[in-house]
Amino acid sequence: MKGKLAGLYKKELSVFFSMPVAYAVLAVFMVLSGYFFASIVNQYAEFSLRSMSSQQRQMIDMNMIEWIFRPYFHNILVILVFMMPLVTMRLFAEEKREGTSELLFTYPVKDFTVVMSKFLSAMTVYALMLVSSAACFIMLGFITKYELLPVLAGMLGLFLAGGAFIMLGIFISSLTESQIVSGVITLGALLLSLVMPWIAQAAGPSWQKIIMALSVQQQFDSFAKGVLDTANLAFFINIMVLFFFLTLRSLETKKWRG
Amino acid sequence: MIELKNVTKKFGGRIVVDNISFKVNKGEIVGFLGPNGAGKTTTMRMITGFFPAGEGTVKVAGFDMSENPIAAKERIGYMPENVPLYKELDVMSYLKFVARVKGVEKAKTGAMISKAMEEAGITEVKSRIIGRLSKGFRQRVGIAQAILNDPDVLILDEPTSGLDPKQIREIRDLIKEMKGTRTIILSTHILPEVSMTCDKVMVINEGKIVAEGRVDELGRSSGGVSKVIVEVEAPKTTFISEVKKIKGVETVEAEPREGSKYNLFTVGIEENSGAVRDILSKIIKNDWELMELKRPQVTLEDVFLKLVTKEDV
Repeated sequence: MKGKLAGLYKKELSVFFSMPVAYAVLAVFMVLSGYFFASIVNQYAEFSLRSMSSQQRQMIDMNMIEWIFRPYFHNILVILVFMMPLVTMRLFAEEKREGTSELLFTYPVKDFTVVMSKFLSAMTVYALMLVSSAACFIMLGFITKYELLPVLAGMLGLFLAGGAFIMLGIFISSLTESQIVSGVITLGALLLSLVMPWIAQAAGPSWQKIIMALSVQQQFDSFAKGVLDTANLAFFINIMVLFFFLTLRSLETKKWRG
Repeated sequence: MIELKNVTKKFGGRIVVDNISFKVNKGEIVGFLGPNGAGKTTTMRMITGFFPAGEGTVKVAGFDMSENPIAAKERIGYMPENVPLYKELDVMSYLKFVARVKGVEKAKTGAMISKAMEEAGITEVKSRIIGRLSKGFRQRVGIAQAILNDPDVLILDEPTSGLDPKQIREIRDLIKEMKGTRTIILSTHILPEVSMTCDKVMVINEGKIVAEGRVDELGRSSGGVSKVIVEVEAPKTTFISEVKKIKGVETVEAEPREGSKYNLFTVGIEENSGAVRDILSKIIKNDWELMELKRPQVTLEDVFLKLVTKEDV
């Protein structure tokens, strides 16, 4: 990382970790993801026990990716919808409320560098969350064997989906001075993307396809199954690029308006 | 060093800065003087590149702010009003961040930070959390971050607002120490501040520069008739009638005074009429004891009020 970006990135992280919200988010995420993982593994264990004692034992495919990781990754995605706004809501809103943006934008840095530093710092926090939750997989690895690559694909999917959530959150944070407003709108937008399938059902068949294409869960599902599909990959990367661009625009407009 | 040409800024149709042009030369300290809401902060924000000028051009150290913002910003140190800092960080890591962002070379960072901290007088609090510092120290941290990369130009928005009298003096001394080495623009609505720290004053009102010049020039140019104050042991009525006869004397007023044998008179005289000499010889002829004869300094306050409040004009 180059000097200015590195400086901004370091500042973002030190500010973030000097606030209690950082630890609350990390801790709650670890507890929730741990609980979901444990309960899914439990279910799986019970179910496999039952199926072994039953007659049609050969009929059921007890693939762990399908039975444990896929539902687990989908659960994590739902948790992220609620946690990500907490990570991103302050990023620009607080700078504006506190007035520190005035100094920030009079330093010799490009807006691009500022947005990038905020994105990277949030991604770092998020990566920390993911890595901490991965402790569960490692423990499962001691007990039983499972395919690693599909799990990694799922993690990559989570990383990308979370990145898209973060970039959306940063964009919304750049629109307001209030952290609460920023957080609530981000949460609303993410929930909306989550319930896209319901909206698609209600819509006519001609719209269904378009709305489903915007569904985060739909796009995420192939990752959760352990499949890397360039279309899904492109979907999340496009979302990040789009909101990055919109954030730059929003900062520019703010400057013209004062 | 700083050059503004026909700069105008509107916010939603409201003109905040109205066709301002001025130049600040190297090493000058210029005070922006004006009531709250006159457009001082807006002008400063355009100079620092926080937002672009609506119309016109802003140049800092030869670099156009809209064409080459990074190069221009590298030469500016800015302290906004209310000194917004990251309260969660300690002074040292905050200044390290500023050094990075301002593009200070890594090898020089340590020395640059120590120099800035020493100049601003915050070396003793370098490991304290900014949010827990007193207002005076926070102001100094604000100054330290502004001077950190040794900028040619310093822009200080209300550098002494919200401080106690001792802190105000310290900050003023700090600014005065930088005289000559840096080009400084500071804004204030406190009048004595300007006469104490600045070479040049620009009085801004309703987005326009209503007066510009050296502090003493501004004082003198405010009227054709000047005043002389005479404190003398003389009976009121005789003094007034005697002095009124002198050519060039326009008004004589006795100031109310009690408990002293000296009376105080304010004499309005035409400039360069030689009336002061005649008043003196009158006093000597009558053998009145003269305590004091002085020309009161026209304070900036007078100038300011005259320029800013319209009823006086």
